[in-house]
Amino acid sequence: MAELHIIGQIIGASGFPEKTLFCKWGIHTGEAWRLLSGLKEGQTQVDSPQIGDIAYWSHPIDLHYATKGLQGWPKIHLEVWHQDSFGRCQLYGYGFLGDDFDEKEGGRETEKQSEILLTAARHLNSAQFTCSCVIQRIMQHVYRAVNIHTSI
Amino acid sequence: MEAPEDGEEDEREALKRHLRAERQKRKKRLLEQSSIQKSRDADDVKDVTSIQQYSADEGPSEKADDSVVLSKSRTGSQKGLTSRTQHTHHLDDFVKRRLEEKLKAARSKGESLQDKEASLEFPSRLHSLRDRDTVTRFDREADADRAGRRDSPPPLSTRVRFREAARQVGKGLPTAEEAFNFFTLNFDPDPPDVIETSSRRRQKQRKTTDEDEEHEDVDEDIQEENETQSEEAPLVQTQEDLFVIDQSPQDFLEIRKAEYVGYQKLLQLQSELLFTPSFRTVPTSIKLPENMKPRYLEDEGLYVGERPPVSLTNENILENRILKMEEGKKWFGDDGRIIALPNPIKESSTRPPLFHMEEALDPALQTVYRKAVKSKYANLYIAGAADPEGDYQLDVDVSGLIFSHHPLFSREHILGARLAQLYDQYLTRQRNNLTGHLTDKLNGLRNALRNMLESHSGLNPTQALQQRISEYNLEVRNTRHLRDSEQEKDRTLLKNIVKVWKEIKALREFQKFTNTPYKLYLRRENVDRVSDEQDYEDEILAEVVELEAETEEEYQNKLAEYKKRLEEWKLCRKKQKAKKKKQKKKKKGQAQDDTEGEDEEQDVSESEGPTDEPPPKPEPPERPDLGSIEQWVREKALRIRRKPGEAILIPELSASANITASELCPRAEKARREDVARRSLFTKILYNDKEVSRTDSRSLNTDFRVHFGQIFNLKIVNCPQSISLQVFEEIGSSCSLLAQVFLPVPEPSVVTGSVPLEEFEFSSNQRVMFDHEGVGSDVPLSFEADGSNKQSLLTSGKVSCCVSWGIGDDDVPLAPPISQQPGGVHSGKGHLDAVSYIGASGLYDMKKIGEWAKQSRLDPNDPKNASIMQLLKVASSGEVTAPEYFRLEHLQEEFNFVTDEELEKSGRFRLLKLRNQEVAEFRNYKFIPALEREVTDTVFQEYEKRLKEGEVIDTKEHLDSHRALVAKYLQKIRESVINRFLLAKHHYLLSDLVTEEEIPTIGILGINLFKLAEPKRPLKPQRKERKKVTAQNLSDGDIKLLVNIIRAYDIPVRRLQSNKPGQTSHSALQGSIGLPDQIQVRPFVEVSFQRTVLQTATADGPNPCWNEELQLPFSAPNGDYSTASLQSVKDEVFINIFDEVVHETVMNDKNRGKSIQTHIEKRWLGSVKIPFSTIYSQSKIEGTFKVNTPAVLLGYSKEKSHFTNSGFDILRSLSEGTFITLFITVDPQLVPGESVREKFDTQEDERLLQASERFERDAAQRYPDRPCITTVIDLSGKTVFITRYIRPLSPPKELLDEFPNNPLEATPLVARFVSLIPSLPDQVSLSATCDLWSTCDQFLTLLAGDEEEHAVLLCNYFLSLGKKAWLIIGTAIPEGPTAYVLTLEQNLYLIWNPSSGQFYGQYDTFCPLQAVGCLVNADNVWFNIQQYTSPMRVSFDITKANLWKPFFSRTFSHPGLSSIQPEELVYRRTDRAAAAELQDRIERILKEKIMEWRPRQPTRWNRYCTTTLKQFLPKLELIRGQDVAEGHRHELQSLLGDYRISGFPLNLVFSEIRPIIEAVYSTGIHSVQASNVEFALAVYVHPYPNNVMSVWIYLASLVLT
Repeated sequence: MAELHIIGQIIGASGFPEKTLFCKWGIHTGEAWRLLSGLKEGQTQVDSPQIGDIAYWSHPIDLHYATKGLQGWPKIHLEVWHQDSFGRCQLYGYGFLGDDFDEKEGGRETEKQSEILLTAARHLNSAQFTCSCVIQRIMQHVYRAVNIHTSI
Repeated sequence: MEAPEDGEEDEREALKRHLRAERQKRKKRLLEQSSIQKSRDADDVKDVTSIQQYSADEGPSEKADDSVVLSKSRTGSQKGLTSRTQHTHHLDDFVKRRLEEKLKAARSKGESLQDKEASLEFPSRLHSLRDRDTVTRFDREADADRAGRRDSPPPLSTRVRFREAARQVGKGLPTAEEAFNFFTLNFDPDPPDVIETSSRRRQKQRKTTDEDEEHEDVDEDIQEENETQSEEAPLVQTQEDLFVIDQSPQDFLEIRKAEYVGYQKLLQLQSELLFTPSFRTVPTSIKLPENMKPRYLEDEGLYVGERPPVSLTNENILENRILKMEEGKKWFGDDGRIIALPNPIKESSTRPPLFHMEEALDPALQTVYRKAVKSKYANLYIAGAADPEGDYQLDVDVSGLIFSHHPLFSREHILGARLAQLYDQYLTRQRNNLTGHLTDKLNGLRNALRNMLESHSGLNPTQALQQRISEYNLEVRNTRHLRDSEQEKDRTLLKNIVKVWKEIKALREFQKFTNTPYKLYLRRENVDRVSDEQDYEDEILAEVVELEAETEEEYQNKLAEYKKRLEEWKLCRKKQKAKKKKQKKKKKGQAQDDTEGEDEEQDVSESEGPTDEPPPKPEPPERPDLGSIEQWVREKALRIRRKPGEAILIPELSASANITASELCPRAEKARREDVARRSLFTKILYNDKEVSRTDSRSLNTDFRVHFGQIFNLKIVNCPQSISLQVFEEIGSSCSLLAQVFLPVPEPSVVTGSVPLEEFEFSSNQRVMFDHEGVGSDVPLSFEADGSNKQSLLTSGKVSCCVSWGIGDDDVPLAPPISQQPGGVHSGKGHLDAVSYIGASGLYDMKKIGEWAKQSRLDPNDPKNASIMQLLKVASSGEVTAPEYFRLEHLQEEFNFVTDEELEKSGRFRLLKLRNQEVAEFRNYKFIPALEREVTDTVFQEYEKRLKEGEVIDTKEHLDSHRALVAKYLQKIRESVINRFLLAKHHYLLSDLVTEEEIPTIGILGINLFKLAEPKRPLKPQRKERKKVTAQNLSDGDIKLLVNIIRAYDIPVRRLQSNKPGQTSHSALQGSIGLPDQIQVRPFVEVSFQRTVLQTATADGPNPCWNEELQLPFSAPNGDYSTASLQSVKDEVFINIFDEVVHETVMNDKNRGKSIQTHIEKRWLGSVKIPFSTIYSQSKIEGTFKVNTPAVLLGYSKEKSHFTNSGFDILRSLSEGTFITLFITVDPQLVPGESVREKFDTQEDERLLQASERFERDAAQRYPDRPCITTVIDLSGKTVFITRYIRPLSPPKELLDEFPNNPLEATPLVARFVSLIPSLPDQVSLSATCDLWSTCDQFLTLLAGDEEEHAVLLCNYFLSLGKKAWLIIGTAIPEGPTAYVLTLEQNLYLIWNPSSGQFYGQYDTFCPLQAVGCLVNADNVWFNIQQYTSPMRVSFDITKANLWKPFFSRTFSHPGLSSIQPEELVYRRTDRAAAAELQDRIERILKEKIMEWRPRQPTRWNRYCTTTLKQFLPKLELIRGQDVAEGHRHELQSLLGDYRISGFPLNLVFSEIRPIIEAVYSTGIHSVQASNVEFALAVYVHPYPNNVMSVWIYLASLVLT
C-alpha cells in the first residue's frame, strides 16, 4: 500500500493574448488510485495583472492518494481560460502534465520547475500558440510535491 | 569665437596675414618652377639623368616642406578670414578685395597641391614595393643593391610623370612631341638602374684595369641582363649597355631566324597525334552488339522519361568518341542511344513563390536561418569520431577469477576442484529439483489417466477418448523415462561426490599433508521406514503395471502386424502357387508357342518380379515375459533410487579443513607452494581489441582464487564491437598470457547496479610441466595406483565479471539507443523469461502464444512457465479468441500489490477519508497515525454504532420520547444543511487566504510621529485595536475568556432570622436604613466555564462594586479551533452571585478551653448565563444584565426601591430584580465565522429579490450598524421574503381558557408559553453560520429554535389576540443581532423579549434591546432611518416616512405575498401522565447527582421539607414566578422551626436533562460544608400544550441551629 502526497501550487500563466486569465485543473489517475483527501479538481481565481505579463494564481494543490498498483500515475490537466470584460469565458489553452510529473526521485529532495506545453485551442490569425507550463516540484521519496507554474 | 580686439591687434593680425600670403606667393612661384623643371625632365629623360636626379633630389623635399606650410597657411587664412569678416567693421573694400584675391589664389594653389600631394604618395609606395622585390629576388646581391639604393635619393615616380603628361593632355591638345612621348615612352623610371648602370660603368673601368675579374663580371652581367629583362627595362635604355656587354658572350649564343610551319603541315602533324571524332551520325547498327535489333521501350508502351536536350552534333561527337573506346558499347542502351537519365529540369517551380515585399510576407513562410547542428547520434558511433558530448559509459566490473585447473595444482587440488564442481552441480540440481517436478508430473498424469478411465469405464470409449488415453500413456511413459534418468543422475552424482571425497581422503592419507580446505559431511536424514517402503512398493507396482500394459500393447501391436504380414505372406504364397501351376499348365499345353510364351512369361515375371522370391515367413512375436518385468523394474529402482527406509544422504561441503603448514610438507610440495607464491595475476581489458585498462596485479593464493574487485568506467565513443579480458600471469618480471575471455556487449537496458556478476569460463592449451608437486597443464596424469586411466588437464577457470552501461547523475543510463546497436546483440543473461522471450507483442496474440505453448509442450508444473500457463488459462478457457475489447490498463491485476479488500480494510485510509468527508465524528480529527497498526478499531466504534442504530431512539438520554424524536430530526436537518453548506464553505475570499499587513501611508506615519511627541498620559489610556486571530494557528491554552465583573445592583439582602413573620420584613428594611454597620449582604461573583470556577473578592452591600477581571481558559472540542468547530461549542458561561455567610460556632473543649470555629457558607442569589456561541459571534459583550433570580429566596428579601407609578398595571414589575454589569470577551479576538455567501434557490419573484437586495444594500451603506433583514432562508434552504412569516396564529386554547374574560391577562401567559420553548441558536444546532428561519409549525414540532422563531411565534400569537404587533429586528445584549416583538398597548409601546417572556416599556433603562434596525409585519418592512437606534429615543410611528423607510411603497407596492405559515396551528393536548413521569425521573437523577457531587459527606434528605416545598411549586407556576409573598416562607419557617433554611426555586425550560443538572450544579448548593446539613429537593413539571414543559426545582439546605 503506497501513499502519495501531491502538494504544490499553480503559480500563474503568461504569454496569452490576454492577461485576464484563470485556470481549471484536474488530476487524473488510473483506477488503482484512491483519493484519500483533498480536491482533485478545481478552478483558480481570475487574475488580471496590472503590472507584468504573468497572471498569478498561486493556487494550492494538496492531495493525498493511496494506491494498490503502480499503473496509472496521476496526471494533471490544466486549462487556461480568459475572462473578458463581459464575464464571458473562453478557452485559451490546455495541457497535460504526464509522466514526468511523477518522475522518480529516489530519496533526494529536489525542487524543480518544469515546463509543460499547453496546446492552444485558440486560433488567432491562423497562428497557433504553443504554451508551456512550468511545474515546480518538491519530491520526497513517497511524498511528492508539485508546484505548478504556468507560463505560456 | 574670438573676443573683439582692439585695432592694434587687428593690424598686427593683418600684417601677419599679409606676410604669410607673401610667403605663399613665393612658394607658389617656386613650385611652378619646379613643375616646369619636372616637365622638362620628362621631356628629355634620356639625356639629363643628372638633372633629373637633382630634381628628384630637391623637388620632393621641397614639396614636402611646402605641403606642410601650405596647409598651415591655408587654414590660417581661412580662419583669419572668417574672424575678420565677423568682427571687424571698419575694414574697407580694398582689404576685402585683396583678401578675396588671396583666397582665390590660395584655393587654386591648394587644388593643384592637392593633386600633387595625392601623387606624392605613390612614389614611396612604389619604392617600398621595389624594395621588397629586391629582397626576394636578389638575395645574393641584396646588400650591395640596397646600399646603393639607400644612397640614392628617393626618385620621382614614373606615375607622377605619367600623370603630368595626362594632365597636359587634359589641358589641351598635346604637341606632336608630347604625343610621341606619351605613346612611346615607357614610364619606367628605374632610378636604381641608372645607378646600376653608373656603377657598371665604374665596374667596366675597373675591368679594363683589372682583367682577372673578367669572368666574374660576365656572370654578373648575365645576371644583370636577366634582371633588366625581368624588370622589363626599356629596350632603348639598355641597348647601349647590351652592345657593350654582349661582346664577350657572343661565342655562346646562336641567333637564328624563327621557324615557320605552314598551316596545312601543322594540321597534318596534329592529326597524327590527336584524334578528332567526326560529327556525323553514327549508324545504330554499330552502337549495338552484333545481330541485335534496336529496341524501343517507348514503343512497347513503357514510360521513358524525357531526355535532356543535347545538340545532335555534340551527341554525334560523343558517340563517335565513345565508340572508339574500349567497351564503348556499354554506354549505349537497347535503343542504340546513349543512356541518359530523364531530364531533371522541371517546367514549373516547386518552391512557393516568395515575394519580398516589406512585411507582406506571411510570417509562417519566413525563412529562418539555423546554424547547422551536428547530429549527436549520427556520428557518435562512427569509429574515430570523438564527440565530447557522447557520454556513454561502459562499466566493466572485474570481480575476480577462480581456477578450475592451474599448472600449479597439486593432485589434491585437482580432486578438490572436482569435488567442488560436483558439489556445485549437486546444489544446482537440488535447487532445480527436476526429479521432484517430474515425479509430481508423473503422479499427476497417472491420476488424470486413472480418473479418465474410471469416469468412462462403463461407456464405450470414443475415438477421441482413446486418442487422449493413448496420448496420456505416451506422456506418462516419456515422463517416467525422464524421471528415471534424472533420478539416476542424482544418484550417480551423489555416488561420485562420495567417491571423490574418498579419493581425497586417501590422497591426504598418502601424502601426509593437506593442501585444500575442503571437507565433506554427509548428513543423514532418517525417514519413516514403513511409509517409505510403502511408497517404494507403490511406485514399483505402478511402474510394473504400466510396463506390463505397455508391453502388452506392444505385443498386441506386434501381433497385429505379424498377422497382417502373415496374411500378406499367405496371399503371396497362394499367388505364387497359382502362378506356378499356371506356368506348369502353360508349359504343358503350349510348348510350341515357345517364344510367345516366353514373352508372356517374361511379362509375367516382370510384373510379378518382386513377389517372385517368396517373402520370409514372418516370425510370430514372442510373448513378453511379464514376470521378468518386475524383476527388471526392481533392479532399475535399486540402481537409481535410494533403498526403502535408507536414510537420505545430504552432502555438505565446507572449507573448514586445516591446510598443513609449509614447514611440515615434503620438499617437492614446498617448492610448489613457493612457486605459487611467486606468481601473480592481472587482467587487461580490451575494448575493440585495444587495451583500455588493466587491473592491479594480485598474487595467486593457495586456493587459486584471485580477487580483483575493480570496476572500470569506460567512456566510449566508438561503437562497442568486442569487450574482452586477457588474463596474464606474472612470474617475477616476465608475464605470459594465460587466456582471453570475451565478454558480451550488454543491451542498453543492462545498467549498472541491476545486473549480477556472471562467470565466464576460460581455458588455455599451454603445456606446462614442473619438477615439483605441481601437476602442470596438458600433462597426462593418473590417480590410479597402476598409472592407468591417464588424463591430461588444461589450465582453465572462470572469470567473474559483469559489463553494464553506466548511470549518469540524473539516473539516465549512459547507453546508446537500441537502434544504434550494431547487429548481433548478445545477451549476457543466461536465464530467459518466457514472456519476454516471446516478446511483449506476443502477449496480445493469444492464438500465437497458444500455438507456441502447444508446440513447445510446455510443462505446466514448471514454475518458470507459471506465468504463461496462467495467461493461457485465462485467455483460452474454451476457444482461443482475440478479445473484442481494449484493455486500458492491461495486467493491472497482475501488478497490484494489494487487493481492493485490503485497501478497504485499511483503518488509516478509512480514517483519512472520513475526515476528508467531514463526517461528524471525524470532522475535527487532528492527527491520523502514520502506521496502520496504530489505528485502533475503537476509533470507528462510535461511527459504526451510529450508522447501525440510525433509527433507534435513545430515550434514556432525553427522558422524553418526543424530545428524542425531535433530536433525531434535528440531527437529520443538521446533516442535510451541513452537506449543503460544505461546498459553500470551501469558497474562500481573498482575505481567507492572504493576510496582508496594511502598508503604512504617509498620513499614518505622520500621525504616529505626531503621537511620539505627545505627552504621555498614563492616567488616560488609549484604546488599542486588538489583533484578530484566525482559527487555524491556535492551540489549547491560547484562548482565554476574559470576564470583567464591574458591579451589581439590587442584590437581595439577608433577612434577619426571626420567628415573627409580620415584623421581620419591616425591621430588616428599617435596619438597612437605620443600621449601616449591620451586614446586609456580602456578595461575590463566581464565574464557571467549562468546569473552571473563579470567583471575585467579596464585597459589601446590595450594590457592590467589584471591578475585577477573571481569566478563564478555553479549550475547543477535540482541540480543533476551526470556525465551524468553535461555532458549535455549546458551553455556557455561568455567572453566579453568591452571598458569603460566616458562621461562628463556639466549641467548648475541656482541655484547651474555648475555640471559635468559623464556617464560611455561600448562598446562591442568582445567575446569569451566557452561551459561548454568543460571545464568539459578538466577540465582546458589554452591558448590564438582569440577573436571573429565583422567585423566592429563602432568608433574603429585596430592598424595594422607588416605584415608578405609571398608568399601566403591568409596568409594576418593571425595573425589579437584580442587575449586574459585565464585560466579557475572548482573548485573543477570534474571527467570527462569516455567513455563507451563496445564493439559494428561491420561489420569490426576481423583481422582489432585486428590490430586497437593493434595500438591504442601501441600508447597509447608510447605517452599517443597523441590522436589516428582508429575506431569510427557510429550513429547506430556500430564500423567503420575511413578511411571509407573519400571520395571526391562535395560541393554544388552554392558555386562553385560563382567562376567559380578560384576554389582556392572557398575554403574559402566551409570552411565557413561547419562552418555555427551548432556545437553541442556529449556529450551535447547525454548526454553520447561517440563519435559518423555521415556520411556526416546524418550530413547535422541533421545540427548539433561536430568537427569531420565538419572536415570530409570539408576534403571530399577539396578532391573533388582536394586538398591534411587529417584529423588531435589532441588536440586544447578550444575543447580538436578534428579533424582539413590539406591541402597542394603550398608546404605549411594549418590547417583548420572546425568549424570556419578559416585556419592557419603551423607556425602560434595563431593556436588553439596544438598537432597533427594522420593523416587520405581514404587510411591510420598515427600516429605521432615524438618528438614533436606542428604543428609548426611537419613535415607533411607522407612518412617518422620514423616520421609517418602508420596503413596499407606492412605487413598489406589495405584490400580495401569501404567508408560508399554516392557517392554523394544531396543538397536542397536554399529557399530564408523561409530565408526572418526567418529574419523578428528574427528581431521581438530581438526587443522585447531588449525592455524587458530595463524595465526602453524607447527604441527608429532609423529607418533611421536601413535601412542603413540593406543594409550593405548582403555586409558583401559577403565578409565573412573580414575587410571591413571604407567605409560604413563613409557612415553611413555622413548619421547620429550628432550621436555618436557605433555598430557592429554579424555573427551567425543559429540553434535556443535562442543562438542568448544570443549572443545579452552578448554584453550588451541594457545597455546604456544615456537618449537620440536610437537603430538600422538589421537582415539579408543569405541562403545557404541545409537550412544552416548565420545570421547577426547589432546592433548600437546612442547617439545624
